[in-house]
Amino acid sequence: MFIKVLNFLAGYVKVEVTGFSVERFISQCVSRGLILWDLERQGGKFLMTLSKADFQKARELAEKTSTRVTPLSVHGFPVFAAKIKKRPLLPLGGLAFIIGMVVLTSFIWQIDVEGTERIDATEMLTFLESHGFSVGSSRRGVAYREVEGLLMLEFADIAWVSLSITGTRALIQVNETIDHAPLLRQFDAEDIVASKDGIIVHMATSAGTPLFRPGDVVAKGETIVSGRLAIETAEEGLLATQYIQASAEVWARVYYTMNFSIPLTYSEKSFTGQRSRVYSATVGGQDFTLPSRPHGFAYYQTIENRHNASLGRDLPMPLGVTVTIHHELTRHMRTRTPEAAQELGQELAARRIMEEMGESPDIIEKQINFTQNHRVLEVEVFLVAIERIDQTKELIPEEQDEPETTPEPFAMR
Amino acid sequence: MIVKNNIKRKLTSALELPKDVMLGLPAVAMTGDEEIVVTNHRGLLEYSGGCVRLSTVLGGIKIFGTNMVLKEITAESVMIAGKIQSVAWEVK
Repeated sequence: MFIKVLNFLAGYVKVEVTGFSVERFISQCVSRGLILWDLERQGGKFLMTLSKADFQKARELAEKTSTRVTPLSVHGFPVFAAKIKKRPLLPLGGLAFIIGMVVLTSFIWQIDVEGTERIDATEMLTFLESHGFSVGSSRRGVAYREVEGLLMLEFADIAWVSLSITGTRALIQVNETIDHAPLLRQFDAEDIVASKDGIIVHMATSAGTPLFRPGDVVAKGETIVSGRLAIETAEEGLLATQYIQASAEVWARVYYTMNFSIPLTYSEKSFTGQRSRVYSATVGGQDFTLPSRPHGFAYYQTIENRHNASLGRDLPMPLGVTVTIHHELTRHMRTRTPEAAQELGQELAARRIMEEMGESPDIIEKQINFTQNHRVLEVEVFLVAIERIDQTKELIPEEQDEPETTPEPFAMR
Repeated sequence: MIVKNNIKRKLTSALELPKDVMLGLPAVAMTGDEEIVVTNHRGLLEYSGGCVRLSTVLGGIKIFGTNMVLKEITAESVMIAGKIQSVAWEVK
């Protein structure tokens, strides 16, 4: 390998050797220390490669062994250098490219924020921008500790923050403090309310005062289990009121009606195969659309492909190319039979049921009615399903309920 | 000369030294049936696409195959690429 690199630098020659005893010529070359490679026999002639320096020696040996060495082509760096000599702008371009790369890689071109849940990453970047650290800032002289300190001071929810710069990409890793809100919220009093209209078929209350029982009709938003506990006796009346988090599982028979229509005449789109491309260059976040002929399509679909220049994962560049392709479409009027429309209606109904009630709803009754009305098929879907309808709702204690005692939430359960 | 060679051979065996280095014996290394490297050869005797014959201290070595190309030939070794079918010795 090392020899091949040296030969490339010194230049090498591909030759054709013909004659009575080429094998003898090869052996002579080898015994004199010449290196031959890619040696191939093609009929009566031999093709081989040898370094430029060895070529002259091989010619002398060819005379002694009555063979003829004909050079076919010369390769390697000297040939390349000779070509470059004729094109002085090429090395200048190469030099400009290297300088450009060095300059471009001395700036930060991407800032990523990881680990944020409650803190808005955009807000964090805007804050850093106002303090002089943004996309386009120089990589040199970044005060890491200062940036981290500023973030810690500005965002109270940050427990730990780290800034690292790899290539032209800055990464801010954040660990947030524990969110106290859910911990505090679990001590708030709550009712269980109905999330849908229905007839209760089963309910299991683990905390709170049930206001309904199985067989009752409940409307959406009505309180099923109250978080208000009245402590009273027959003799003394109301002694105290306590507010707790009500907890219950409520299953109800829920009725659904869906109506939609399927036209028997419809338009269908198809691609004509004609397309028009528009190229845009992106430099530093700004798009520059290159001139192009107007496509003149009446109906078309647009697909945009954005390619950002990047030297690996850590060296994103502020350059990119966007190719926007407009595909021409045509519209054809089609008609469907009532049977095909009914089939489509069944499919659409199944899809809507899935959207409304999830992947595996517990449907106990389903009825689909079709009515043909002129050029439209009306579809009416009637469903009965058993579903959980319990939902928590914050309970605001009534102030007039005196005397009131402060609840001990865990003690109440 | 023969005596000197015998001593050298015995010494090499006794000290477990590599025989290709000490005695200049040819070493043949094959990679599957695609490549063969012969070291310590003494020159090329014959070459066609189907046969390569090399000279060694033990005599000739014949390598049969198809589409054989001499990837590299130096004073010490020959690297042959192609579809190798068999290797045969021509004992002196």
